Amino acid sequence: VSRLGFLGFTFLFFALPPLRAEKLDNRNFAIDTCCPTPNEIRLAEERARNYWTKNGARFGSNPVYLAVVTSKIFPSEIQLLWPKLINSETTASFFSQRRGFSNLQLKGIMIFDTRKGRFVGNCGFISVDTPPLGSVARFDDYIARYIGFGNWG
Amino acid sequence: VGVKICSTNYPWVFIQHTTGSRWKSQSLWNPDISRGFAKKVEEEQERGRNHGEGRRPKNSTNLKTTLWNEECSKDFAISSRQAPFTSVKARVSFINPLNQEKTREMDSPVGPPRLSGLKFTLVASLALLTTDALFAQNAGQSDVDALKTQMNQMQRQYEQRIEAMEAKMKSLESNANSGSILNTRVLTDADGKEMPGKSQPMLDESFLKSLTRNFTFNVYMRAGVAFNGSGGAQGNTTFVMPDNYVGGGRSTSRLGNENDFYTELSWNQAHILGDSPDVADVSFRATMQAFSSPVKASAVNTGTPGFGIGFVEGYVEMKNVLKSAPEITFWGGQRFYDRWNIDPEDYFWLNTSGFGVGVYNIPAGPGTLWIAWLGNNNDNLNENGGISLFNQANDHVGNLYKQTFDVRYKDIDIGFGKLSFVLIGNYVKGDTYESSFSTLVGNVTGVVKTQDMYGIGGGVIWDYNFGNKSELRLSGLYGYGATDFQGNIGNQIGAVNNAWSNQFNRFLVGKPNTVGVASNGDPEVAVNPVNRNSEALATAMFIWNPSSVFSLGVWANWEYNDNGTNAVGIDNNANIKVASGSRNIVSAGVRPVFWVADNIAIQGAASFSYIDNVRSQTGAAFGRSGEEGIFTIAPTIKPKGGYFTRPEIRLFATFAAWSNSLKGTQASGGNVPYNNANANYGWLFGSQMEIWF
Repeated sequence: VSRLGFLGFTFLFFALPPLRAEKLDNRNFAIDTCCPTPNEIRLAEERARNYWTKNGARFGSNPVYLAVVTSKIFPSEIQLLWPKLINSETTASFFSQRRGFSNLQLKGIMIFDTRKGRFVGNCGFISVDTPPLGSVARFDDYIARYIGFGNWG
Repeated sequence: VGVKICSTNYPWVFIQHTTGSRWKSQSLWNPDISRGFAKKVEEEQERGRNHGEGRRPKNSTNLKTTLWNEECSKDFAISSRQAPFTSVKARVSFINPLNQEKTREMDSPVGPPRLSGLKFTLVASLALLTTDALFAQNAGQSDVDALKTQMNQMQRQYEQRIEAMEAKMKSLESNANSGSILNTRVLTDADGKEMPGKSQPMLDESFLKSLTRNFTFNVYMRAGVAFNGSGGAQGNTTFVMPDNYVGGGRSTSRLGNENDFYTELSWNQAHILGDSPDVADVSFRATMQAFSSPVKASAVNTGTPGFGIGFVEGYVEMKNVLKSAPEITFWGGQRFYDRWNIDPEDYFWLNTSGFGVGVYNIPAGPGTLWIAWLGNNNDNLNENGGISLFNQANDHVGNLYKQTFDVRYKDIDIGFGKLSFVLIGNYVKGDTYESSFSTLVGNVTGVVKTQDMYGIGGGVIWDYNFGNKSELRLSGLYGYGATDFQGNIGNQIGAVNNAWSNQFNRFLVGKPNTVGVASNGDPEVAVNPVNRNSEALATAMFIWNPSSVFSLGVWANWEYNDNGTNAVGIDNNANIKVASGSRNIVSAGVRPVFWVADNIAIQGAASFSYIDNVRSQTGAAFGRSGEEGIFTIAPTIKPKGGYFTRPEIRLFATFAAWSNSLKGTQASGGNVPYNNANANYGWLFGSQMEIWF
């Protein structure tokens, strides 16, 4: 029993921390770039600040970036959309409802720097699929915590 | 202050200077000094040779001058006219012992003067060195000043350019901020002066440019041709279960089983009011639909049997309407509205598409809210043709009108996938009208009286994303009454017509019925089947792209439909039969794709379908159950990248087999040569293209 107990303890010791560890979705959730309007940026920045004020302690400082849904993008705003969709790893939700861009929901996402309390730039990324809320994922060169509109949690 | 000129390497001058005990090396750009210095050294060399004390360099064309100086030699041993940075290399070579020999070879093409002329040489050299060194220092200082001046000039130029760009940006912003596509432009004469009274609002150039910049074109198209196992044309043959899904589609597999030429061509224009953040962001989309079957001629047009053309979409979307929530989007017109399908069957099980208005992308907690109000009607009064006297006198309602209230709460993150909730309500105002109904004795003109029809239903859709465009999707929906998760009113009118026909058939065969006589003498039946309808469905679809050379689509569906009335029909032996108004269809299939080269794949499909009660009113299958299997193999030219990559150019062979109970039905293709009472299998061979972008 003691041997089994030792093995069990060893398994739990090594298995549980990875299970509890926060996973990084390293797929690129950006299929293109976009530059939302100043009004959209202001509103989203405000949401991100409020969100971080409420939840910053829970998540900690790693990563330092938040990915915030800032705007809606019409499919017709994107040139050469099809190759961007077919060559991305993160467009499954579109293809599962395939045929026709009327169903395609594109999100404009900007990266918020929690250290500086503002977005890292005036432009952001366009995403089709999004990672689970609160999870850490990659948006082009940024590793960021996805918070959606920032109106939850 | 001490300065020593160590060597020159035209146009560089290498010096050492000191203000105390430490000497520092420095190189200066000065062609005059270097040239002058070289000349003096050559004179010294010539003088030494005249005294029989010099020796010629081995390669005098490559080496210009070298001064051998005790203090400087470690840093500036050689200089080459052809390689301005040779001295730097030489310094490195001192660090690397392996390069010593090479360095020595290049060293000292001019040797030091011999002792006999040394005294004079040293005096002259020191005099020259001192003079030139001081001059060099002054010249170096002037070089630095010149560089500073040049840099200052460049800085001023850049500042001027930036100012000009900022002014231009402000000008453009002020134009864009005008908030209208009709920016007023002041017309000027040839001298650039404003022409009084000539100012006209006109289209701004930026708007015209935006027409092309923000324009996109999308296409869905499939086009193919095939022949059957007997060598004849495919015609209208498609192997589909009878009493098919309410949402249409194949209820089998679509690969190698489509008989039509079909296309949707979409034109999109974004930012119709311009890019300014102060105006609503408007996008327009129109989709033209064209289809043709069974004729496959070199050209199909409106004169070709089976050809149709029309518009399935024409709508406007507007965002940035509410400044406090610019992402909320309003739409109006006719559109495909958030429809969901099983693609390998082309089965749209949730499709409230049609005319209407709506608002979506409303942030609400972890999801978004979608609200739409859609309407749909057919011409059941024949308003567009010869409307009957009875219907002309009907001042109650007009054509039946189906209203759909569609509320969805979408993309709710639950940690392992996303949930979407659907809630749909329907209402159709009842009416009394005259129409033509299919009965056991042919078409009969009669009057139908139906009550108001209500319906409500909903369900949930769960999506789990595995990455690399792999996804598992499960859904369950249940609707009651007029809610069948389709926007079209055709199913409700069909249910009313079926109920009327069933009552009249019962009258014909002497069974209890509710047939009466209308005011114009027509048979009249009061029916209300829709409020007893029910529709339940469950779907599963799994798209898997595990590697670059293999993809897989798997699906399974169950649909239950009750049309609210018993069906009265007749079999092949002319026996009157009564069947239940409900039926179940279960289908499942798999469609694997193997790539044998980068753009060449072998794909196949296998599916099985079962129906427990065929409600069609004639034929041997009436009231019976049955099953069908279909198998397709299709070598395909198809890009790598996953299940949904397109275009595809396919050759296919399709085999279908159906149970004896379904002989002669749509399961047999619904067309010659397999729709006879004997055939229970059939073949299709052909080619097809499918593209989508």
